[in-house]
Amino acid sequence: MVEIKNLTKKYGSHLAVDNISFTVKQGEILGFLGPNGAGKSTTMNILTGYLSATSGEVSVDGFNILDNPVEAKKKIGYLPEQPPLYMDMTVREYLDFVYDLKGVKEERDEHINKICETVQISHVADRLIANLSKGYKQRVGLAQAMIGNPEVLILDEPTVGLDPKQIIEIRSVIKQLGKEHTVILSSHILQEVNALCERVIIINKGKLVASDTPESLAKSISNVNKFQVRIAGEERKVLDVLEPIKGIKYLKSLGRKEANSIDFILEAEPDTDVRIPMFYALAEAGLPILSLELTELSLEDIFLEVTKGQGGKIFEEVDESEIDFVNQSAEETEESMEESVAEAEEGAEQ
Amino acid sequence: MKAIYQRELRAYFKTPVGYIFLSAYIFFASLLFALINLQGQNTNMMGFFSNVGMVFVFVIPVLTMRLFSEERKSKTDQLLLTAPVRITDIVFGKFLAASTVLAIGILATMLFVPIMELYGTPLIAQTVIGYLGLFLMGLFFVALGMFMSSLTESQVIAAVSTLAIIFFLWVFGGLSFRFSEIITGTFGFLGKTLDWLMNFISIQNRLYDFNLGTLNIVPVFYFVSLAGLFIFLTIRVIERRRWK
Repeated sequence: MVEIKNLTKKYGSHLAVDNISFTVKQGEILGFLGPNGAGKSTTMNILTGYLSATSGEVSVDGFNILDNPVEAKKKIGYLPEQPPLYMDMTVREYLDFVYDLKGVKEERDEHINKICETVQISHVADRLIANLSKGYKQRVGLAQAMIGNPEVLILDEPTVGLDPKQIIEIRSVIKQLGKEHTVILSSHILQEVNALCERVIIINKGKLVASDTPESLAKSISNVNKFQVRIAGEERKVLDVLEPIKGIKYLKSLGRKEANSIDFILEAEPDTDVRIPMFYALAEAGLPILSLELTELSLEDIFLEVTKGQGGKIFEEVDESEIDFVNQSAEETEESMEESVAEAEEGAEQ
Repeated sequence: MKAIYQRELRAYFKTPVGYIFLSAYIFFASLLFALINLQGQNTNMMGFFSNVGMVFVFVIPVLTMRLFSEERKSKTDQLLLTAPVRITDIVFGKFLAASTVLAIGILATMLFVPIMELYGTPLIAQTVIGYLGLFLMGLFFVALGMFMSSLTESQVIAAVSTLAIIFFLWVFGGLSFRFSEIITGTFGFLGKTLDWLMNFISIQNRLYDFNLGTLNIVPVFYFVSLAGLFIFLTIRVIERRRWK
């Protein structure tokens, strides 16, 4: 459906995208992952014909974006990083304008109303876009991309700046859209891509570093081995208890963060769960665990690791345990987020 | 093109811009009309036309400054440039919208003709041709302003640079128009060359042809081709930007 060949983009002497090639099949949801400044937005801007590549080719459904821009653009709905909204228009006026601009053939009211319902903006249709909250602006941006039912939807960081409830809503909308459309979505949040996409492409510093399914990136989630733990008691005593436990690779005190307790950072050998022996050992010594938290490793950290010294090592070579942390903690975050949202909704109903 | 034209035209009247342009233009034009024609008890509008151009110098930048600068600043250009429309259509849509507002302003000041009708016998044909000249000159300024707007994200820079260029063209030509003899007399051959150059560039000379009531192909071509040139340059600038 979308084919990208040897795409390179230079801004002056700065190489923003470096020889990237990939294809997206019809009906696929592709995640485009990378730290800030990796070249995600640039690639998307080239895909949609907003920018032109320095070299390389982009074709959408067989239409080259340079040779046949109008035909290629008809197939694409684009939500840029900052939704392209006219602040002086109401939502309905704006969507009408986009409808005219794209020269859509479908019945106007029916088509626009349906989209408004999907992204839940029907009740703000007559409000001025300037007065909408960030989350609603993002939805209007998404609605704009959906107008004309384009076969390919390109969404640049669609959940950035939204609150947790909105993030979950937007994600479910995207998931719905993925059933009928080819979706390319960028993000710097691993968890998001994990939740939505069938395939993930990771780029860093303009280079493609990995292309895989989220499942294989998230292999052996149960392999937990780095956390921060808060224990009530004296530092010396705790260290005496923990040091003999087998499988602890690294242990460091972070000092006092709460009265009468000490925080430790703790790393275990791969494939070893030290939480259970740790619990019993500490309980026996009369040192209660107050909290136990997985250490989050951001994607940026992983990239620092990947690209350290060599600039182009492939993703698979990263210590897998580190990827697992991210997945694990990301999943937990999402779960807790969904819980808190559910609670909030219950509260609102009462 | 139609969608962009309609949106742009509506935007002029949803924001203060359209009203500021129209009220400023109509106010100053009326002032000139009152001073030159009513107070001067003169039905010949030549004096009015040669002065009202100066009003254009100041009001046209207001009309054109936001055309592309604002789109770029608010990133809405991403919507236009990724939609299945050609850049030519976008540029023409915007140009026509600005020209429509200009035409509304000029039509409003055409009410001066029936006002004169009350007191005397205006020279209808000559006056209408004068207005036509004014409109064509306006089209050139609009295209120029649109071009300046496509170069920058800042509306202020777009407006000020448009004003500076139009002002320069207006005054430079105007010097020759008024002081031709002094210039050639004082500076000899150099003065003659300068005078020729000023005459060649002069907007006022072209406008004067219309004000005389003659419809020549040369001044029509002058304004229309300059407008076309700047429309073309705007399209090129927007096309080029993708490659940066």
